[in-house]
Amino acid sequence: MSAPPFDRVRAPGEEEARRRALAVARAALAERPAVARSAPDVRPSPWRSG
Amino acid sequence: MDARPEAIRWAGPVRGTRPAGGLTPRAERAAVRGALRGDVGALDTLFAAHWPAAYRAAYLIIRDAHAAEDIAQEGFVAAVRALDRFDRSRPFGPWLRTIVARRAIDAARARALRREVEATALEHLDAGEPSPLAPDADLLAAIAALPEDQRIVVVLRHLLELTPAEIAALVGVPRGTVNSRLRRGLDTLSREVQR
Repeated sequence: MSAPPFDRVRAPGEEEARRRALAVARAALAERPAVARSAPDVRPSPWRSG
Repeated sequence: MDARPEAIRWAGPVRGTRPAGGLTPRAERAAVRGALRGDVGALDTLFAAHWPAAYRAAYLIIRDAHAAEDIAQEGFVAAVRALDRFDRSRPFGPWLRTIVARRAIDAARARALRREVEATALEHLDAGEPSPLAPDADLLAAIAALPEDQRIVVVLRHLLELTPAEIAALVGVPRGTVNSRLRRGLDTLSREVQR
């Protein structure tokens, strides 16, 4: 069962949609709660006084 | 559209090591880790690797550019928002593609129920809409002209690269039915493309 060259398919409106979707995805990434990110350990330093 | 976190689950087995979307598994894992840290460049890498196939598949299933944009965009955003719950030992691409496939199938079914099949979509394609990004408009039109049951399985298999078992689970038909629809769809496409 041979398949046609699907990698050559481009859908109408793709480039504009791509630009908008990338902007939205970046905004979604920026909105993610900081606590949810795999940030470095920010527990209080044992050297901190008080 | 179901955006509940519980609806965004890994729905298939780990695929082989063939790069998906041009990313090696290692590069993809690095990009997922980067995106988790909030690295925009890493997000862009994931987007470039996986969004195009998601959009094309959604377009071919639903045959509407605006709906396809919503489906692919919302699917990717849902994946970004669920990155914390993503099992990083799994490949990202199939996970995203399953999200998009499920949304596109749901949208197609909803349209069918509402009898909103867009006859104009095919006319639009047949008219040969000028597009600098349409290197194979004949193939696009041929896929879009397939009967819906064949079109969906062909798109899921060959654009989103889901396995027949994954497609069977998503569409809700036996695997043998998926294979027969695939065979009929590809036979039709081969005839149409060779004309």
